[in-house]
Amino acid sequence: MTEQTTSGKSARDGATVTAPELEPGREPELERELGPGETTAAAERTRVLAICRSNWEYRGIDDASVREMLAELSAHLEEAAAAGRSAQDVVGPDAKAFAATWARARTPLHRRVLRMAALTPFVLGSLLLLTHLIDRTLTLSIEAPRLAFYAVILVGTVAVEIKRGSLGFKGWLLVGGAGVAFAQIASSLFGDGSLLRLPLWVALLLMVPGLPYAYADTRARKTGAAAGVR
Amino acid sequence: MTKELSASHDQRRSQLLRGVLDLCLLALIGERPRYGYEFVEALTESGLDLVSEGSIYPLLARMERAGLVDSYRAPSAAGGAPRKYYRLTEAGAAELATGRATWSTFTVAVSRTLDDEQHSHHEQHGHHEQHE
Repeated sequence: MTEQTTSGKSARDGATVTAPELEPGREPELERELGPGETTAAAERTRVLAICRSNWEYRGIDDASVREMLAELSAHLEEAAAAGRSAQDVVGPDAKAFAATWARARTPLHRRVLRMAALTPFVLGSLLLLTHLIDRTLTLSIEAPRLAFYAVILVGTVAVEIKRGSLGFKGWLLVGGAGVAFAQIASSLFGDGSLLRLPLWVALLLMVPGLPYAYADTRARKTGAAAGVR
Repeated sequence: MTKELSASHDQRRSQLLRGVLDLCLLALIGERPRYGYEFVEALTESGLDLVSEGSIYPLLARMERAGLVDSYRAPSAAGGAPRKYYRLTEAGAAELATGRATWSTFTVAVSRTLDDEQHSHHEQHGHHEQHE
């Protein structure tokens, strides 16, 4: 049996792997049509997994760990469902609180804060770089309405995804609408004049602290895909 | 009233289990390496029902961080994607031994306190001695 250590700590001497192997030639479970009850349960499992994913990502858990935790939870939810238990039986009534507890136990606060402190400017820098490329300019003009629009989109997306797992079409409409409304308010309050001008090097500088994390996440994603971690 | 008593009973069981869940998990891993769902099955078989099954994962994560357990990925009997198995480390085995000794002493002390007959007998005996 191939055994892939997922943590670097040494195991107790003599500890043997007794997990049974897959039967030779055994096919993975074939997809079949789900009944209405099963569809609802499957949708609930997907919702719980989405909430956990968003919470872990926004709480500064690294990509490899998020994948590992999702794979573990997903397998548990499926086995519990096969035994007739719901997603709520597994994670409790509050999926968000469950995800937060697991995140705190998994990675110490200082490491999570450090990661978010590096990745937040990285995302911001990437967006600015993209805007530079779209506008084909070396200096970006930042106006109050644009600032308000992106701030609302960012805050709204994070808030909804932490609570519900994903924005969905309605969420996009709602957050987008709120962004436009706040941009209008900012425009009437502060006008459309330029607040500041950002040269290209600012965008690049913002990306620097997050580069090691982005690189590690990309590598982990490739390794995870090769090892079959969803 | 009966419902309230039953709820209170369940709550007490849940609180008691929460206090020793890490030790139970270590003991189960001590028997053989296991993955998440297997812990729940083993606990249920022993008559220990968890209010929310997933509460084992933060505990396992904390124990892994503390170096009490180690993990690896391997296929499971149920098939599908490989599972994350947990196994005991030397530090975990030592923690389990200490925990067992603590639990043993604790349960003896609690049983002695909760045992009505023995307790009242001791109290009466104490009163007699005071009168004499």
